[in-house]
Amino acid sequence: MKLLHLAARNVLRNVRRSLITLASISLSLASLIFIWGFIDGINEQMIDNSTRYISGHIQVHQQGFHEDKALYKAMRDDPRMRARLAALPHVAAVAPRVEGKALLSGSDKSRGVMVVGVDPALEPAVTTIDRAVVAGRYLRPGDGDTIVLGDKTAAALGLGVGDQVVLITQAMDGSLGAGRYRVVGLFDSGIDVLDGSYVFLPLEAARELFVLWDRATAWVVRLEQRSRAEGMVRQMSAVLGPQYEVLDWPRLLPSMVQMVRFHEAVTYVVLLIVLVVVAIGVGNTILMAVMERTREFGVMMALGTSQAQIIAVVVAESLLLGLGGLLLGNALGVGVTGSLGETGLNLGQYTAAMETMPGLSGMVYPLVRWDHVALLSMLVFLISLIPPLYPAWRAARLAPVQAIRGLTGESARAPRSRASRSRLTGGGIFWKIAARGILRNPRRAVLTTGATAFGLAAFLFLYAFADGFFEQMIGNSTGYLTGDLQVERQGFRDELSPGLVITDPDVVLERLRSYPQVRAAAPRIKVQAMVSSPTATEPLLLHGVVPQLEQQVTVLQRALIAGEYLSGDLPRGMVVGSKLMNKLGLELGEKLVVTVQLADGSLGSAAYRVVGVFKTGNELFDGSLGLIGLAPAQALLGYGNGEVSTIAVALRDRGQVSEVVSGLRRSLADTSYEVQSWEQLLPVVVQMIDLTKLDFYVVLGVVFAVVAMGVMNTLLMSVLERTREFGVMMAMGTQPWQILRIVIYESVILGLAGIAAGILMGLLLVVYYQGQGMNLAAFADITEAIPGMTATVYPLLMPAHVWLPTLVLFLTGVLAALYPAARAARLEPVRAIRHV
Amino acid sequence: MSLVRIEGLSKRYRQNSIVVDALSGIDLHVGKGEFLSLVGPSGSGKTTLLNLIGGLDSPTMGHIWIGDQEIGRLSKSALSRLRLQRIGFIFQEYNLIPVLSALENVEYVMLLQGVSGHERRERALAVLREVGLEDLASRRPPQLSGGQQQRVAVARAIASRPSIVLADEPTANLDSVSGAALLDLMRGLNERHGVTFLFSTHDPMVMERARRIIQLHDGRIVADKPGMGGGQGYGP
Ligand SMILES: Nc1ncnc2c1ncn2[C@@H]1O[C@H](COP(=O)(O)OP(=O)(O)OP(=O)(O)O)[C@@H](O)[C@H]1O
Ligand SMILES: [Mg+2]
Repeated sequence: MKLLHLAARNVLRNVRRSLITLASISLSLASLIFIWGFIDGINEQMIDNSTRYISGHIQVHQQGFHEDKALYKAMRDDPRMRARLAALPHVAAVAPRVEGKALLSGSDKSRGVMVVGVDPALEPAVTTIDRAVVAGRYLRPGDGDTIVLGDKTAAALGLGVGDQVVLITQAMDGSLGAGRYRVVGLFDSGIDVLDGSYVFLPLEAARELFVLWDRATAWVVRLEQRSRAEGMVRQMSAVLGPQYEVLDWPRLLPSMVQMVRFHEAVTYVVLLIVLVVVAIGVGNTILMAVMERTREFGVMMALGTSQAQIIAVVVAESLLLGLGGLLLGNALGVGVTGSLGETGLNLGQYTAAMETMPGLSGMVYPLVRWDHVALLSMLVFLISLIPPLYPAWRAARLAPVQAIRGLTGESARAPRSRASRSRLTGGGIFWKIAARGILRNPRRAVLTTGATAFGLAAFLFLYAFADGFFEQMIGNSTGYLTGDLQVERQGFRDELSPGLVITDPDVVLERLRSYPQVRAAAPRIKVQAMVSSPTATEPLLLHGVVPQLEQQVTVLQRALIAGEYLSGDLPRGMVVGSKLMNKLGLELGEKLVVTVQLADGSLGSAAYRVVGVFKTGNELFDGSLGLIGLAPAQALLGYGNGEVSTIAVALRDRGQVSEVVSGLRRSLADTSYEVQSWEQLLPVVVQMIDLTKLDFYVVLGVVFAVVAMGVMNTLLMSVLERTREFGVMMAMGTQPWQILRIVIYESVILGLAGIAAGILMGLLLVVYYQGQGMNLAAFADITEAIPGMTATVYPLLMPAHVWLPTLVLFLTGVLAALYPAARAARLEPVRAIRHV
Repeated sequence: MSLVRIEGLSKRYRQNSIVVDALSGIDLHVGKGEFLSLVGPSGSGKTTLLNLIGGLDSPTMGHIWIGDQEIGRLSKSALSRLRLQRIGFIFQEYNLIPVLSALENVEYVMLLQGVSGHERRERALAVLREVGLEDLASRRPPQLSGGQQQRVAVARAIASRPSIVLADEPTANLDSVSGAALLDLMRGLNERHGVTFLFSTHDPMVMERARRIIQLHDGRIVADKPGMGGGQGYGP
């Protein structure tokens, strides 16, 4: 008890020092709690919205349907069986559905969509898309051929409530199914995938379209609590028997679960870095606070205090400060996170990026998870307990007289007789005092420099990783698909409408080739289509190309794994992605049928033979891209000879794209053509870059705070320690601003050393992984779903991206020195001299 | 004319509710070339008086002139300049800037004064030779003994050619032999170069060497007499 009393006194004695320690513990903990809460919130929202709007918590299918969603595997919709499921405990509701893919056409445009046939009476008890209707109404019992669209789909096709649309699909029996429907409502869930590619029909209308009488592809189940899903799967399987498969949401939404896992993995890396930076920052502060007192421990030992008692006092003090920091940090972190969880955090400027992630909208509701808060609290508490043991243990082992003399480390060094032959010059003396002042306590300087260096290195590496990631996305996407820029008719991009053609491609090509920056240009036809094999129908992004020209702009030919590229000898040949081949169940050399909507709204179709298969390693390209010759494409779409839909351009250097685009725009201003840079052609890539930047700002913020804290603590302590010395200097006529200069110079030296070390560490990491490549195979499902990505990332350090944060980091350190410097300069000489 | 003139000087410290009159009604003149010792029991006000003369602290009442400048009227930075040009300080311990060598410590003040590099180096080496530390010029303070450190402090105090050197118990941390040596050194400088010294002490040995002794008690001057070191008293 006596000990605790003494510890409490010590804590209170140097209020400023205790406050610094307390603040560094509690602010660090609070920011960790917030970061984790922010990310938990995003993950929870992704899962919650995805299950709530579309998948439900559990789905029941005919055995084998999940593997291969062929319509003939739809089950009989047995109402008694459904009723038995609904009667099970914890089940809130069950609804039947018919789902399948189809091509949705408005007056002159079309796109592939997911058709969901729902029972208007039962569905709202299971999912909540009915509550997201923003125009018109949701489906009603008794509705006939009606349809509800997402707002993005409607906008893309230029549709509104009351308009007529056509759905075309391959029905269960292999026939071409088609139906005409009236749009009764539009929904806006804020989630891109839903709003842009899901449409809802009444159940009976969908059964008619797909020729699935009496059948359902799925029974969708909502539970009272999502967390019961796993247990309920076993119970339902037992009730239903082996001809059914019962799947909970993680199996229904594997790509979202992957996305959440990927995000969690990124989170752990970020948290780990932040934790280490915080550990160094907090540890440093506490370490210095104890080291500063070596003399005091010496006096205590001289008075007969035992080594064990000294360590015990320090531990008791750290306990008090650690507990205080824990309380404050939790109050602050949980308070801020919790209240933002109520109001939501509006990331308006990242909205577009967030909405492309499944289940996310622009509002983030951070989530306080007590298990995470407890884990963080424990870690930070440990971090605050361990560092003080070292100096206490060291001090306790010293002979009292050494301890009283203090641990300057200077007395141990050999005299350096030649060293001071160097001349003192006007400003030089202050640099000299500053530099040697830092070296006086090398351990402290190393700690501070280390914290700065580690934070910077972590930041540089993360940024290089991201730049490598983005470079690969951009490089592959432009190299395989888009080229660096494209010229097309105004408005063509929105829905690849076949009516918008370039009628004089030779004139445009002529103009393009007059630019020295242009390496190659190729005319193309580009259209959304459906492709069918005898067993399946899939959406297809069809390109009609001139093989010789196309191979100068894109390099898809390099990704061929079977057969050959298009050539004039094979007029009805087609090159197809490997994933799409699997989905269609086709082999090289087999035939497939392509169906498109023509400019006049009618359907056109033609058969081709697969002459080549490519595999880029990216899901999007391999799963939905197909190439045919330009002339066959013109024939399919009924274009005149020489009419194309776009011209893809490759530059000698992608960096010149904005220059070329603005020049071209001027030169094409008198035509109805527009120019799109790769940024406009690949909005998802740009959005992902934005989203990742958000994560970086969080890391950067923490690094800055920790560096500022570290530099300020170091200098504050070293200023307090040298109070008397500054007093003597002032007595000798040194002006306050000269003292200020010394302290600022010290921060400059510390900052430069930290930054140099940080850049070195960061560079070493980057260079190492540049040779190696970072293997993200564990997340392959996710990375491959991102346009242009494969599973190996090569980090790329772009000085243009990191010089500013580095500079700001340096200035942060110098700014943090202002307070201790001002304190030193404001010292009253008498007081300073009395201070020992 | 006196070098230092003090009239009706009082200093009152207030700490919480306790009021301490560290100095009350001090009148004192110090002439050029004096070697003067302040003595008195602990708490009698010696340090306070030296700090006030050096402009490190400001009086509650009364006036101090150094030459023709009244220091109560000076701004903070003017006081800094006054100390730089006219006053040398020596404290009981930790006098030196620990990161600078002995030579650099001596040069430091001249550097602030703007003395050019070559002259500065010459003068610093000359003064170090004077105090017998030429060989140790490149050592840093932690590598010097207490007595050597105080000699460097003396060297630094006189190198800038101040009008007066104020020393607060310069020998208190030294053994008697080093203390005596330090005093002989200061006395020698006083005699050879006419440097004015005003120092405080408890040490009878110091009193032996002083030429004039001012005795303080409870913040008042109770005696002003010639020391055993020769010279004559200087009455108020
Ligand atoms: N900053 C201060 N605050 C309050 N009281 C002070 C302060 N400085 C000095 N005193 C008081 O003023 C009185 C004179 O102190 P001073 O330090 O001048 O004595 P001194 O003669 O130098 O003593 P010593 O021989 O012990 O050094 C003492 O009673 C002291 O307690
Ligand atoms: Mg004193």
